[in-house]
Amino acid sequence: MIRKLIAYKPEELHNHFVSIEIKRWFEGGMVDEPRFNQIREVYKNDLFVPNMIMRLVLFVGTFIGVSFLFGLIAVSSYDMGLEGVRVLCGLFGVTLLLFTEKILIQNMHHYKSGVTEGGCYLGIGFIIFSLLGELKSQEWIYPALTTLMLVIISVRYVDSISLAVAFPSFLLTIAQLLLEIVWLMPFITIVLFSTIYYLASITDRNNEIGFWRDHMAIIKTFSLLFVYFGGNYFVVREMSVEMMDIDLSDGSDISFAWFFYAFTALVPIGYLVWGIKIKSILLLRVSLITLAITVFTLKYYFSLGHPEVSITIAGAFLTVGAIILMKYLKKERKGFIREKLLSNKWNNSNLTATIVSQTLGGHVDTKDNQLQSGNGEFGGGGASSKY
Amino acid sequence: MDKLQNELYQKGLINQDQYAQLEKIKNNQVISVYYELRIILYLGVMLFTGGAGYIAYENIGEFGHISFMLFLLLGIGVGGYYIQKKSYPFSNDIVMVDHIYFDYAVLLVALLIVTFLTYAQVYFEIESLVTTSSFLTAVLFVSMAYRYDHRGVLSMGITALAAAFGLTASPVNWAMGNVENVFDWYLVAVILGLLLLGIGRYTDKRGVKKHFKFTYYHFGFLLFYMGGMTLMFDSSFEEVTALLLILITGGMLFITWKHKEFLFFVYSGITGYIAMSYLFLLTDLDFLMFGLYYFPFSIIGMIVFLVKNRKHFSND
Repeated sequence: MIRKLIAYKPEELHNHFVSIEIKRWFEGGMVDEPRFNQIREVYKNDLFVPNMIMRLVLFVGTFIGVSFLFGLIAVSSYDMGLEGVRVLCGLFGVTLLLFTEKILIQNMHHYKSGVTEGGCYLGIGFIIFSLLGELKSQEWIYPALTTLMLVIISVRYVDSISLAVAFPSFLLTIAQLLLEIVWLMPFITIVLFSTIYYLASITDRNNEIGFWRDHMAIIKTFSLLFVYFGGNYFVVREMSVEMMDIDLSDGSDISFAWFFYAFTALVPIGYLVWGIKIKSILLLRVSLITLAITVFTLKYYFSLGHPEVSITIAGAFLTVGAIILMKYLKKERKGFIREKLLSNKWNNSNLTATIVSQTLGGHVDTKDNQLQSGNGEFGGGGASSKY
Repeated sequence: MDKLQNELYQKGLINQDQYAQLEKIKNNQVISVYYELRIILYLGVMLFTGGAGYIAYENIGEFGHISFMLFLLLGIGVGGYYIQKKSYPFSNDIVMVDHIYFDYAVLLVALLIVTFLTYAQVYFEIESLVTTSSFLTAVLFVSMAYRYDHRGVLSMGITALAAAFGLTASPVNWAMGNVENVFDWYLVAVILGLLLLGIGRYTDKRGVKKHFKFTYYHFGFLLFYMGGMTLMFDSSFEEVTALLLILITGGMLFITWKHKEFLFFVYSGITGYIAMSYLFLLTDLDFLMFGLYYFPFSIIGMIVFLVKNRKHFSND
């Protein structure tokens, strides 16, 4: 079954996954170096998996280069009309996908090399345009077809980025299908994505998912986020104004306002408690993100007019909380510990040094003399914690 | 990968203890919250210092300003004492201080220093001293970076040094298109970039903090190439600059290829490509027709080159 679904040889992919995992074990100090090298030797494979920078360079290069190539082809056959262009796009897209699969993946063993992603995304892009052209009616079919294509390549090429893009695209499809009953949208979103989360958890527990473990994490994360956003007060209110032309300027409120307030406040806490209970790092992370959004949402509607006071209190609260937790989790308690166990694949001290220096300011610009603010040195809050 | 420990254990590649430990992690019996706690701490420190600073600035009178600055000085003193006490003696190699808050403390002291200097400048209205102060900050940060072995502070020091020369040495700002500051200052950028590259190379040769080389090279290459390209686009001797850039990047491509420094190889490649394309644009040939063939085939050619030579950079 798996052999038919994915474009790669399962053995080769398995060996690659083991090599990655074992590197994390080695960096986390679980296995020593001779053993690490021995295991790597056993699980050797010929997959071409470049590092992050190389992948990015190859992806951007492929994208630009192939687009220019299409431009060249299109110019040399310019008098075909729209139908002709659609046929040309279709042929070009199919050729790209075939080239990616037959030459790059099967012959040259590319795996997430940037070139494969470039080929896939451009390929389905051309095919979608070729199939739909400039269809004016039934707008839902665009995101629907996009979602379908993205899911297919995410499964076949074990690509998680396309799956992550498929989620918003799927939500858009639902929204456009339900234009008639848009007032039900929050409830449908909550129920639908709760179901998806539930199904993903069951699948995850069965351990039969093999190469799609990252996919499950993405499905779960997006489902939890969409459930939250489905009932987030700010989102529901703004969408009501936007899509149903409700006028709230006279101080009135949306229907079921109490429900959405409660939902906004309680769901992140629910995620947090649940995450601690079933020991899921994914739930904990999502709960941290949603908690932050909840604070902003509630502050937006119930402001005391002194944001700096709330910021200071929140900062003090977070700092003290983090220090207490760090002390408390010095040794393992209830299954949680503050130490790194296995290394993270994003861990790179040169990268973090750059992020820190760029987010925490420190560059005083003499030319513009922007020093009036006195204290504005603590620049934008990037999500960088890892120094 | 959840059952990998079983597979390896059965093949005799890991022992009983390793198996038991991995089994515990893999079955979610123990979970690390290392990154999560650090994110919370980072956000907390950032919000608190920002908010408290703002409140203090808004609400205090003349006397308050002085006492706030004294308070900052006190913070710098206490923090400095703490890191001095906890730190290990200077060494030319990586120094890992076995203390969970150490790196944060170094960073906090550096931030307090920059806050204090900025505050003092604004309060005493001594704008003429801005350059001196940036320079002072740079010297202080760089020495701190060496003393306490902190690459983040080194980056801040280099950025402050560039600021002393009136440059915004921030890749983030460039990416956002905020380049007007750079335009009048390309020569300074070129010289400063060369200087940083030189320092990086010299200290690396002498074996002083070899792991700082990347930071020096990174800023050095960015400043040098950005300055060079601005010079090319802006000046009246475009062809000469473009040719020079092609020659230099060609040499750099050769050197970075030899040393297997992929990021700098890419920087050199992109800069050289832009210079070459610009040179073609400057010549008399029909650029539209030429470009139609030139761009797709040159870019695809480069990709093929990189893929063909994939083994070369894949050692890390």
